[in-house]
Amino acid sequence: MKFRVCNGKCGYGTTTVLQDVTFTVESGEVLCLLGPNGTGKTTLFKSILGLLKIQAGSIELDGKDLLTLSRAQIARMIGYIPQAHNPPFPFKVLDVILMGRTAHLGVFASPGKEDLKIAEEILDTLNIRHLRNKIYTKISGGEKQLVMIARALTQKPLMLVMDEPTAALDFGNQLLVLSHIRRLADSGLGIVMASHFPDHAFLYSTKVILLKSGGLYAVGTPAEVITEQNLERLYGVNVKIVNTGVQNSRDKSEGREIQVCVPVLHAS
Amino acid sequence: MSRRISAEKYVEIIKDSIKEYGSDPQNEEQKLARKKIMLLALPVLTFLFSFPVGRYGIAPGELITILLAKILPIPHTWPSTLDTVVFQVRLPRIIAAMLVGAALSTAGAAYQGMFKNPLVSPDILGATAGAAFGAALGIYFNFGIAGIQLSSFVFGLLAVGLAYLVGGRIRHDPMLALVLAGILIGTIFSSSTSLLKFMADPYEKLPAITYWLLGSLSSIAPKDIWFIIGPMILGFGPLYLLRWRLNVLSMGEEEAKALGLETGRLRITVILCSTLVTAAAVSISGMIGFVGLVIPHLTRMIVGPDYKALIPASILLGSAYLVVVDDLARVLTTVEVPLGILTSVIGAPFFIYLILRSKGGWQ
Repeated sequence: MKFRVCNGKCGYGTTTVLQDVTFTVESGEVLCLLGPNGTGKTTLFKSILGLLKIQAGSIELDGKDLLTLSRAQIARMIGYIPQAHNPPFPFKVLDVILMGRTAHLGVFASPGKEDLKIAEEILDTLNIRHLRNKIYTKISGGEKQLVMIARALTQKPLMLVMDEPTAALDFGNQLLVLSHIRRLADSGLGIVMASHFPDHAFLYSTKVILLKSGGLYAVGTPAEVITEQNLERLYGVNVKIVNTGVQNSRDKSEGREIQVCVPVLHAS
Repeated sequence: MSRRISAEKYVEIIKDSIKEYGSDPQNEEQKLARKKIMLLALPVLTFLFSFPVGRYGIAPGELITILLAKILPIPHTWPSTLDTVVFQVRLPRIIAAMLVGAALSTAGAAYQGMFKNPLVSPDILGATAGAAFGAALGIYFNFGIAGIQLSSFVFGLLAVGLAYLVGGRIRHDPMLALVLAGILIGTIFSSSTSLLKFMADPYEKLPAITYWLLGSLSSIAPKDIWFIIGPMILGFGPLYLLRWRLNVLSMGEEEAKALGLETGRLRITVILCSTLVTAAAVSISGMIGFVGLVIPHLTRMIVGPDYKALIPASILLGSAYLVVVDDLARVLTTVEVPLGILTSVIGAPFFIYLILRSKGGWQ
């Protein structure tokens, strides 16, 4: 799988929000999108999902131009995981997950046995079988986020796009969701996620995009891009990046230590 | 990620999961099958029991013979007035009540999903206001019964068409724009109806318009059924077939698109079909409130929010409900009470009772 945005110009109507957007995501990569509020993360997301037509440039998935594809064709390749929210009706978790099969069904069809089987498998993959018959509107935020991931997985996509998957989750659920994301990438999916936490990027991503108003500020590995200098320029805050001395079990072979950002507070 | 679980905790989890799965799956299936049978039996029973109801009584045994005589060679031993009552008066009226009830509740259910809002009813885009204006216009200009119905139907479609066009031009969230446009167009039509009432002859036409607006099935003739059957089939068919997609649409515009739906195309289909059935219903029955708002809720309490079950169940429950209320309209008082009044007077207290009892599981 190779997803490529080349010289993209993203925006609404005649206003352009982002220019010269160029990056790639491949199988197994986790691309983390960092940037202050209002720099165009949502705009970029909508463009990646084909919900917003790019004004110039190209977006390709495995060589196919996204703009020429139907919604169902896109949905069979890209799964979208929105921030968990409440739908107006109390659907069962299983029904919500089965909605992910829509792109594979005929116009007048409903999910059948085969679709149910796929959904059941994914319930097991994510360890959420116990949620199967619960009411989606009544489960916790962390559980909802997992159900959203399960729904996207039933689309059998090549790539997942996640809008701040850890927002509104408690500490344990953040790490749970992020480790699932990491595992999904290891199984061959390409992942794009927006985040507000450089620490998460250090922990789980292989590639980072920094957004500054108007365009991409930097693209590269977390270590290259998330620097004290860049964070100060982007967010206007003083940050020290510290090596913790702790190694992530999966990075042991590379001998990489976990890094974290520590804010330096000024005496006012 | 392995978490150690103590033995007690483990037992608790198992107990919970048993509760969650409803003791055993077979029991669940039985429950579902029972619900299905009940929902299917309801319209059939109300259909049969509605024939004897009315000023001209017909015994059930007699009724069955008369109905069978249509297909089987049974000797004609009853007065021919009975034939007239059954086939020219009761049958069309019962069928009309069923079609109108089914139409309003299905359109309501579809709209509630599409607008992601359980407070929506089929008149949200102006269909009812337009149809009412069309009928008032027909009465005002002496179009005759067929003309009044046609005018009502056409104006119902026209109002929604206008709302759709105007809504498409408002640069905003498409759903909000549509609702806003629907309210505006509806207002224009309902004030035009008021204007017609104001100008109408107060001894003859004003009462006719007022009575039509109250909603009634008392003067239904067989040809009225033929008039609405086409649009009804055209509307019900796609709504029934697209019911899974209504689930997805209720998750919101962007999510539905990301899940692979061409939302624009689906939305216009749902609007067109709902409008066809609503306008057809209103054109022969007048304004009948409450059914389109509340029957979908009632149905959701029984079968849950999944549109796969909700659409067929709304059709069944909606048709049964309106037949029963229409029966009551026939027998409650010597002078028939307009159906549109009864649907709400009977339905609202019943619904209040249900919400108070159901602990908010309806949403």
